[in-house]
Amino acid sequence: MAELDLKGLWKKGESSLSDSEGFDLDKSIQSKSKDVLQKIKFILTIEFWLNNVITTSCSVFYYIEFGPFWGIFTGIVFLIYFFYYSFLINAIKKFDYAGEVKNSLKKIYNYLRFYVLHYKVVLWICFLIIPYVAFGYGFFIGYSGEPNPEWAQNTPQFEFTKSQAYIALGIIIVLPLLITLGCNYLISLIYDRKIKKLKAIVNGLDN
Amino acid sequence: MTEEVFLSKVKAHEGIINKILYLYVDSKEDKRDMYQEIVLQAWKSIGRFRGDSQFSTWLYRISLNTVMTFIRKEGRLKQETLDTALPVTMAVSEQSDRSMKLMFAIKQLNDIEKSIITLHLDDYSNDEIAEIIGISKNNVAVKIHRIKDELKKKMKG
Repeated sequence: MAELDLKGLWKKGESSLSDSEGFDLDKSIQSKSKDVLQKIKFILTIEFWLNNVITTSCSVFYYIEFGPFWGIFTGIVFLIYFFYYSFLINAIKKFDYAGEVKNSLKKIYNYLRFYVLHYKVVLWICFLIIPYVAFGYGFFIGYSGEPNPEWAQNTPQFEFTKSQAYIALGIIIVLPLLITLGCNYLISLIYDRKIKKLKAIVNGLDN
Repeated sequence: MTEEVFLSKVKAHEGIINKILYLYVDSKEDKRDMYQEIVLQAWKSIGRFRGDSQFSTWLYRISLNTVMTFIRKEGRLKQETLDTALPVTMAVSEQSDRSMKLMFAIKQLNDIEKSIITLHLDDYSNDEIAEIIGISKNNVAVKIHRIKDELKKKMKG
């Protein structure tokens, strides 16, 4: 089939596509974006403000309760979080859909991979490592024979029976693990398909 | 650029968006979402549009980038009948039947092939296609040749 034929047939066919099926152009610029980067930006902004509030409060609390060293230490942690999240959010804000297709898709692919990694690290820290460390520390304090901290001296003493201790230990180990793996699976379910699709497109452009 | 000027420019080039939607999106609901998303992304990017390239080229880039990052709810296009997969406004004649076949054949290509052949059939030069897609001119020429061969096979079959 000659090239002219293809172009001729295309022109004839495309004339029938002029109908925009009644979509409202004016309203479109006021609509809310369903773009994946916007969703990530929204979640990051929530994380950003949560971290700001929590780490600032902790910093002030530690400064008053434990002295300047811990206050300044948490203040530095706050600054690291602050710049890290600002960097991530600004990277998304700067993204322009009008760029070359290959470069743009590569960027989105890299963003998605990085954010999935970010979510997974946050997930493992929040739902697995922190609960394990916290409960482990609690058990250590409870069973090490160390003198009770001041705040616990006037509270009634409670000791697990052997079976209660096994149940508590089982829950403490299994529950965070299940939550972490479940959330991990959900993240993969939401983003893996899109990441794979983008990877296939970018690879297709390279060949 | 004011909102009014922007909207009139998009309206004038709406055919580009409609073409992309037809080729890449199947359900009406997804088409509406994508239409809004493309216009919205164009509106957000308009401040960075310097006029170095034509408005149509710029809109093509936005449309392709937006549509390719979107996952169709139905996944891959199913082997629909020509009647349901093609525009209803087409008059039935031998010539339009071949047009239908061509459009359906293009719709079945992968995302990259669709974009390249659409630009080619819309009279964009290989240089312009290379600039929009971000690959070399030679690669564009090779791909167009390959896609045309595939289309010929599909049209005969």
